[in-house]
Amino acid sequence: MMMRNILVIRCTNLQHLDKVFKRLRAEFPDAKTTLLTHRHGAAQAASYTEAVVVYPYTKNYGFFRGMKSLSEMNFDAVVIPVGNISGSGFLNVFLFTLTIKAALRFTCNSALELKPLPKRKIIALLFRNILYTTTSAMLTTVVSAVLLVGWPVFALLTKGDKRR
Amino acid sequence: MFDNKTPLVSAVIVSYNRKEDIRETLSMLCQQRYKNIEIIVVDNASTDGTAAMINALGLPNLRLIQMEENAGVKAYNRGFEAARGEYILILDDDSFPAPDAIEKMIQKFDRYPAIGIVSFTVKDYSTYSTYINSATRTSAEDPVFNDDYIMSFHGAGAGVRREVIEKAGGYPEEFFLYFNETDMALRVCNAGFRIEAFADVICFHKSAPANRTSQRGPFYYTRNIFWTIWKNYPGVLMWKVTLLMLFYVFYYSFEQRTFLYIRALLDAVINVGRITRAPITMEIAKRFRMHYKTPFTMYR
Repeated sequence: MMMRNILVIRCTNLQHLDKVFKRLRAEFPDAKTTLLTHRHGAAQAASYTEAVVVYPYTKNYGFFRGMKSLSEMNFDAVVIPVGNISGSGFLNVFLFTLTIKAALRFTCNSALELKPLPKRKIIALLFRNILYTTTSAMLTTVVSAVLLVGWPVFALLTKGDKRR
Repeated sequence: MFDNKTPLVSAVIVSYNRKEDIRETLSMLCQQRYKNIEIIVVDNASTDGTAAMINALGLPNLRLIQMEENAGVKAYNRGFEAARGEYILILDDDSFPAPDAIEKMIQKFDRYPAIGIVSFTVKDYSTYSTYINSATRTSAEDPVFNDDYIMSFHGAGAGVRREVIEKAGGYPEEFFLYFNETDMALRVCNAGFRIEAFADVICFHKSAPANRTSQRGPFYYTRNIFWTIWKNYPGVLMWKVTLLMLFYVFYYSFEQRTFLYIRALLDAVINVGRITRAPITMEIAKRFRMHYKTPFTMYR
């Protein structure tokens, strides 16, 4: 497929982003890239592409924090740089991409592999997330109850706290 | 050797078994446009001949401090103590500033007295030649500072006023490695200084092997994020974030099929006596943008 219009979502450090852009320019030399970034990275983003879109929220990317301006645009592909091999920890960004009109989605991992990320995989990851979230929440409840009752170190630690 | 007309900058570098990388770092420091620089290398007991190589260079503005063992970020504090400069430049042994970076760093400090730390934009080493040959550089126009939230700085390239370290302290020595910048950043902001990143103050950093699945990084990162929270966050927030982190430990242990994070949590609990609690204000804690998930994206 001809890639003319690619959206890159900045969710890793600039050092990784340098390599991701190098990879994309080699792979899709004619494509126009748009970079979505939080406000704190906007000045740095200008050195990658002229098309910079600033995420209007200070919180992480998320499905319920979509952008109207972006959802009205059409992209051939969305690329999500992930700072590890598997993409673990970036589900919120994957879900956010569902608010964007794009024919294809890819992750670009720390080894610079471009891996397709079809919508059905995102949905499958979401279901797995629900399972792990439920189990982890139960474990957290149990462990925190144990901590509250049996771990006086915390009380000692907080003894010197002043209300600020 | 040093002049009295311009402020002295002390570049503090900790080395550990990266002889060729630090040779390049030192060479790049010698090519800085700004000249009033002292270099302090603290060698963390390297076994690859790093210390001998540095001594053989015979740089007149360089002091080498040798640690008896690999003490992690404690070595940086020894370097900070030895520094005589008005400004301290923190570098890794595999990072170096762009030729105009120190000059620009000083301009930022002069222009903005409230800034305690100038965080460099850390670019990948592979982009250095493009940067040097590029006719157009990032504009020197400074951003409008963001008051919504506070960010940490990158330990591979940051300029610090000496008085910041005197007032807020250096790196947390008990951390050994990783997340030390965030702990220091919290104290720095709590002491009333700003941390700002500038797109035109650039340094270059070499990458770790791309497919490395080292356990060291995620282990220390996870343990130290707990310690950072317990040390610095005010009571209620400390409890809330601890619960969130507990949840993440379990979640990512399931997801990545590893006990690594549980081991890190246990280490944090067992060795909690090593940290000293000194809570920051709620206002700073709430505005500080800390990435709680980052440790869990480092392993697989």
